[in-house]
Amino acid sequence: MSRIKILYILTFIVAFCSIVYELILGQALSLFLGNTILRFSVTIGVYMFAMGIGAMLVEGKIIKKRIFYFIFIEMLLVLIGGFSPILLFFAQFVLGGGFLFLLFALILIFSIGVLTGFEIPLLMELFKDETKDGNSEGKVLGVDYLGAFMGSIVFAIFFYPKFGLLQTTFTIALLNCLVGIFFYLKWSKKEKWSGGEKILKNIFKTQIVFLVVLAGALVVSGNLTESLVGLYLK
Amino acid sequence: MSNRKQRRKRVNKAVKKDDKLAKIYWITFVVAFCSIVYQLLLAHTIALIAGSAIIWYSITVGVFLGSLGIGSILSGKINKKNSIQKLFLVEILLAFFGAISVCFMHFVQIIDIYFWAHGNIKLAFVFILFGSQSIVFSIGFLSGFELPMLMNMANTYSKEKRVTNRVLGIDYFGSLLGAVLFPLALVPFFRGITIGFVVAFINVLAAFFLISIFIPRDKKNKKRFTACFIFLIPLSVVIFKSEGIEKHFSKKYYYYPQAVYDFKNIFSSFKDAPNIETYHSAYQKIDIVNQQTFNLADVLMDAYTDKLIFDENFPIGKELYLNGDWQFNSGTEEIYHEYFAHVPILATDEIPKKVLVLGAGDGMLTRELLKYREIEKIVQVEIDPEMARLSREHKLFLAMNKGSLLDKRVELKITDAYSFVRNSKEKFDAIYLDFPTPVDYNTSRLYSREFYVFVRKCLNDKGFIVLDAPGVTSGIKLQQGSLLLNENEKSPWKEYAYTVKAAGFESVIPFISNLEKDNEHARKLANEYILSQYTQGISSEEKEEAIDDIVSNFVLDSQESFIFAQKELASEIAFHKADISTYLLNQKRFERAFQLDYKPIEKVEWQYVNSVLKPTIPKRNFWQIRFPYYIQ
Repeated sequence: MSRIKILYILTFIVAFCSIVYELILGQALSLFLGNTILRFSVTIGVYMFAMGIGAMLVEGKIIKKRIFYFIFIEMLLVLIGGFSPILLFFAQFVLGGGFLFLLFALILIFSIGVLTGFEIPLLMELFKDETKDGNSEGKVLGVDYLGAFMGSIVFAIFFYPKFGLLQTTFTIALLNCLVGIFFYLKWSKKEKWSGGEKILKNIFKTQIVFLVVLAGALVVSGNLTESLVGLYLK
Repeated sequence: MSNRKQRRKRVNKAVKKDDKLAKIYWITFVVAFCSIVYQLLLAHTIALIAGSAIIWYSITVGVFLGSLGIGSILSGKINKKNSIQKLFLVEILLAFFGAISVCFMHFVQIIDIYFWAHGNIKLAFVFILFGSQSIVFSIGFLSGFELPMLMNMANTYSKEKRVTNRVLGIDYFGSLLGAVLFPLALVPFFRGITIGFVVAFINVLAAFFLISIFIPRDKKNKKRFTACFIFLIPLSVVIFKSEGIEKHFSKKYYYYPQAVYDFKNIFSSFKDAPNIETYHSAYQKIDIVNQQTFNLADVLMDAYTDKLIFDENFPIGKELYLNGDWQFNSGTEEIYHEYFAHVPILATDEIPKKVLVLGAGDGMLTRELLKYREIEKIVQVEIDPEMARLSREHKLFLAMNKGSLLDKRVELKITDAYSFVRNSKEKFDAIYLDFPTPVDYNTSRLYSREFYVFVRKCLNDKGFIVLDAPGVTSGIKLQQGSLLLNENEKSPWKEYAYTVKAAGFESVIPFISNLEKDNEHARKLANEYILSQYTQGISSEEKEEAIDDIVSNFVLDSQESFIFAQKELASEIAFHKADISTYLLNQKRFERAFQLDYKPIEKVEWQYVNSVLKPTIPKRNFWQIRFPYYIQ
């Protein structure tokens, strides 16, 4: 498969994962604080705002090290996205349902948004490395929208009712993790700056650890759900 | 001297460039705002029209995002010459589709009712799918062109990477504003139709600024200016006429099914049809409809109730609809409210002193509960301030609920029931749960195990809860003279019952408002009806059969289902006389309410339990489209 096709698929998957993280957080937030309409608009709003900031933060230096940054961002997304519902459950147990909890949740949503905002400009640059097609922006955006489209449908109709909140989170994070690993294997050799190789290798190792942890979490997600519900009902 | 001049020229040029870039950013912001509001408006409208909100909302948002993708991919194939003029065209088309979108959707719905009424259920589904999504696709597709085109425009002024990303970023800010404003500021205060018109107006203004700033004035451009103005005039007219337009579609939705057998009625104005009162809130659209037509069911109802004999002034023929879903008819509401309020109390030994009512903002359930002198305090929790206001101020509601929400014993709290029970430290002897039919994950929470656990915490040891269980009666079958529950794919009884049980309620018992078929007065009325229909002779056997059909259909149609649950195992369900007056409920009917053949639950089957972490309600049904009550 050509690298360009692979990039299309990667763009699709990362957009898919991001929107699902967001929907999960919106759902979880409305569980804890009630008033679903308000929570969902705040979630979507903060998420989009953060995406905007992320997209605007991408400047020359970051673009130069685009391969490194893309891998790094995917790792962070897996970490924050994959564990955010559990973090939320514990946070509400520790912080209660007050302002601190809301702040914590908003920080989670904001972080995922900023990281997602980084992705698209980076992907646009990565596309330009592979092709001289003048419309790589439009195409990346297009595939990104299609990923978001699939994400929102599949989450509401399939993932949430069939898998539940936790299992969905782990599955999506696992997928996201695989994207990071795959990208490392295919692209890391292109990144040429002193010391980069070592850092990238460490990120790769971390990704593998995440992969194992997530797979384990997926296996025990049934029991985990039970204990989290117990925590929630206390 | 000449050097300085040159430098000034260069500076001027740079300022102009920045100025133009800033204007591109502003236009990006505005069109991004418009696009997201169109998207949310379409999803909102379609979810209101269709019954199964989750599926239709997802499909709509999905198709929109997907067509955005297709649009932005195709934008690259377009010749980059005259891109400003092309963007102008895109904006004008968008404004046009945005303006007509909601009306178009309503029109699709009316035609759909025609198909449905003629039994073409699949055709109705296909029609509403393609009909509604065609406009979603058009708007999404056009919106997809915007961002790449704006990026290109910005790039003609500056080749820096920063600029592209900034356009992208500002696009997100515009979306943020739209996503937050739509549910919080637009839906609560404006009609859907108005929102569409106003946003289209803003869109035309954006197009207007686009051409006035970026292209030199020539003859062709003049035509574009004229086009803008020609468009703005009817838009401003319809913005002010939107109440009438909405009324027109409401009338069609509620009254058209009666005239459905004539296709031409799709286009008639329904000017003479009785008025419909509409109120908007952040949570729902409240419609008060006048049903003046002859309705056999209402006539038969008179055989069962004494309401209109003892309460002559009680309003008749008024119906309440929330988001287009039927709630009650003022002539027959007691079949719901009397069973709901009294059956559980009559079945327990002690009349509760402190009662919690969740939902039921119309005040009718509370009216029934206030009949007990023993009840000292009722705490009522309603989420929608507009509904509460109507119940306390609107003449019609006051006539129906007898001012129950103004009573000294009632403490009204305007808040989300879920948050209320989660945080409340108060204990109650009885808790009534009356929520809308769960059609999405938002309402599904109010039927979840977690919710019932919180409810149980608010309950005294000997207390009970009773909940309205919408949809359960669709799974009740008459078999060998007894009503059979369970083992039906359609009925969500298992989901409700296992969920309540999983929350720690020991006994979970369903009951229904089960009127008797052998009511002599009802049979007499049915007989009169048949005689009025058949002018030619009819054999007595045929007649008996027809009477039986009419009465049993009526009885089946008027069934409402409830679930009664207690923390401790109920000792025995028996009728204990309480000193209250009812128009419909009596000892005989009380006993019939529990005549359901069902398997009592011993062990919880977890795959049916509805949890906020893994919802099993609503049971999804693709084919379901929302219709006014009486046609289903």
